[in-house]
Amino acid sequence: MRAILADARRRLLAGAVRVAAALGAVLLAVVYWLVLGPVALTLRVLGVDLLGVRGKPSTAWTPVENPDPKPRLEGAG
Amino acid sequence: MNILGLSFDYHDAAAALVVDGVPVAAAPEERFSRLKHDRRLPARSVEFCLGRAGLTAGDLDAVVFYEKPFRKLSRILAGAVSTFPSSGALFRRAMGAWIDERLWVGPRIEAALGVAPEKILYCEHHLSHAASAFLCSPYEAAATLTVDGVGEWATAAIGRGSRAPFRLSLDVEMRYPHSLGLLYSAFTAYLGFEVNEGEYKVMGLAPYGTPRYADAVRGMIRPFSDGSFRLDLDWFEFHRDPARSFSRKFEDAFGPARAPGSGDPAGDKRLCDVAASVQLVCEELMLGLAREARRRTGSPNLCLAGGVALNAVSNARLLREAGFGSVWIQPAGGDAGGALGAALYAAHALEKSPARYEMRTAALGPEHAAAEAAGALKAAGLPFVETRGEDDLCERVSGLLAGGKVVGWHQGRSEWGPRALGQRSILADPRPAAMKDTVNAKIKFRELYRPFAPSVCAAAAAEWFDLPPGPAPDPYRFMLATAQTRPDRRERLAAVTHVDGSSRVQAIDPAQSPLFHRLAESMGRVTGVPATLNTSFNLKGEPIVETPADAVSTFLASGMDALALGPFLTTGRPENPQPRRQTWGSSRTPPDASAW
Repeated sequence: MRAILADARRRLLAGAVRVAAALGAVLLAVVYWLVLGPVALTLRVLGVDLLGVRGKPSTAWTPVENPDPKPRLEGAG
Repeated sequence: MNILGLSFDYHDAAAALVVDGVPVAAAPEERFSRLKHDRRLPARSVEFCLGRAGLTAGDLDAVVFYEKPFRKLSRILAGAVSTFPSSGALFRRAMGAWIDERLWVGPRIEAALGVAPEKILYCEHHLSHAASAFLCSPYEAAATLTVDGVGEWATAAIGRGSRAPFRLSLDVEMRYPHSLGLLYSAFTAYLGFEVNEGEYKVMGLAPYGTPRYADAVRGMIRPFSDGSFRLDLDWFEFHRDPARSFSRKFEDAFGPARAPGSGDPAGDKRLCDVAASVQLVCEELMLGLAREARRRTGSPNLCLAGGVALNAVSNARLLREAGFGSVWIQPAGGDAGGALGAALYAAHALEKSPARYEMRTAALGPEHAAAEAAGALKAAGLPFVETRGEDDLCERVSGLLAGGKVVGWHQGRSEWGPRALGQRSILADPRPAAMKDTVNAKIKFRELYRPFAPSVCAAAAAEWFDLPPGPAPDPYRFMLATAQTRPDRRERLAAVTHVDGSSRVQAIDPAQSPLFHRLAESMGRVTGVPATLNTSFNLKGEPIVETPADAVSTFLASGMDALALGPFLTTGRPENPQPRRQTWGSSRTPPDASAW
């Protein structure tokens, strides 16, 4: 009896994981098409070049800001 | 202060512990987990580092992650937006990984180590690389150059460092998607090798070809007079496709891509020529970047790190032609090295007067007691003898090597970085040309075309290789640059001289590796050549061995003739041999995993 219950629990959990993964994939698709899409089109219309692939610059170097060492280490972003 | 540096989530997870400014322990997770390029939070490496110093997580003053995750996320989102609508698959896969784990770096460190959130710090990716080179170098002041696939946004950076007062800054950076590392990786994938693993194979394949496609490769790049460059993204897919690095245009120009694992690439002239071409262009671009670092900083010293800094052929040209008087390269140039760099940077940022450190040895990993070695041999049923000290060990091993035997060599603390430097090595006689095929085919089960490196007594290095007289430049102590074998010596170093006459030399410093140096001296007495063929103690696709048990297991799974395990030497096989173990696994990362 205990083995049957354990097996049922395992199947239920596996099913839940599959459902969560499917829901996650749907949610990501929604975000991609309904959020990123309009943002991408707007930026394209405005001519914003986020990756620096357009235009004819004379260098690919970008200056780097150098805060003091201690505050530089704070924060993940 | 006790500062732990961590790198994980992409490839080559590692931990490094710095106490009062001095690294006391550092190791990649793969050595413990036995999973090549293990990218998971390096819990075992942390355990080793803390244990080595006699500390607990509660004793840590700071834990520093080697990059800024949210800044990286901003780049991935910008990439997905810029390549909409063709970035759907990449977005789904990347976001899956981010939601699952990468967004939660801080909480995961808290949970794994039990440290307070305010102790968790973040050092930018290329600053970590720069610190891993400059703060291990012998210089008071130097230029830094870091080049890899991509960190947060940066793919290469030029900076400068000074010891007193401490200052390490990045002047300029090149940004994604314009990346030398990703360019080289695209060719690695095209040539049928695994990205982040097969780049050495491209470098080894290049001398079999001629760079007849160099102009085509240069056509993918728009170079500027200051050494920087942009990539023409029409040739690539890494910025929008999670499963493919190069575009159809790439195959139109160079022919069909090689399927992974198919045939011998060295037998295909076209593939060899493609490898030669991308290698040549890589060298040209690295030289351009290094010359710009020299021009900007005016420093005679250069500190180099990042994955591309492991390209030994490019490094050799940089040493000769970039105009620096002296160059120091971090032996763990890839992301694992970022853990050490992040910890060292934090030590200098947080401490008033951290100790001055210069990396003279890469032996920062675990050491195993003789009793553990004896236990591993006994457990495997291997007959063995205990040698009478180091001289006896070296004489016996050099005798075996001179007799054509291949010997596993497991001694002292394991090496930091991907190169075996005489702590976890497979050794053979460097003289007979056939030895290369023997070790490739019967011992390591890897591609026959791949070359082996020589380890030679430092004092004799210039006699055998085209190196300046006197002490060999620092990169040669860590096997980080190639040199030409002197033409009149090539016959006597036939197993370790590549088809173009080059060798990836390790000049063994007696102060750095006394036992290994003694072995090379002993080889000199026995064979007249003070060197050994030295390759990492692993089988194809596996991490380098760490423990005596790993060494015994690999010895039994290969065709090695003998094993020197600490003071013990075995030349036998068990009376009742166990079935050979399966090879250990490799963490399969998608080809562009480093990009997202």
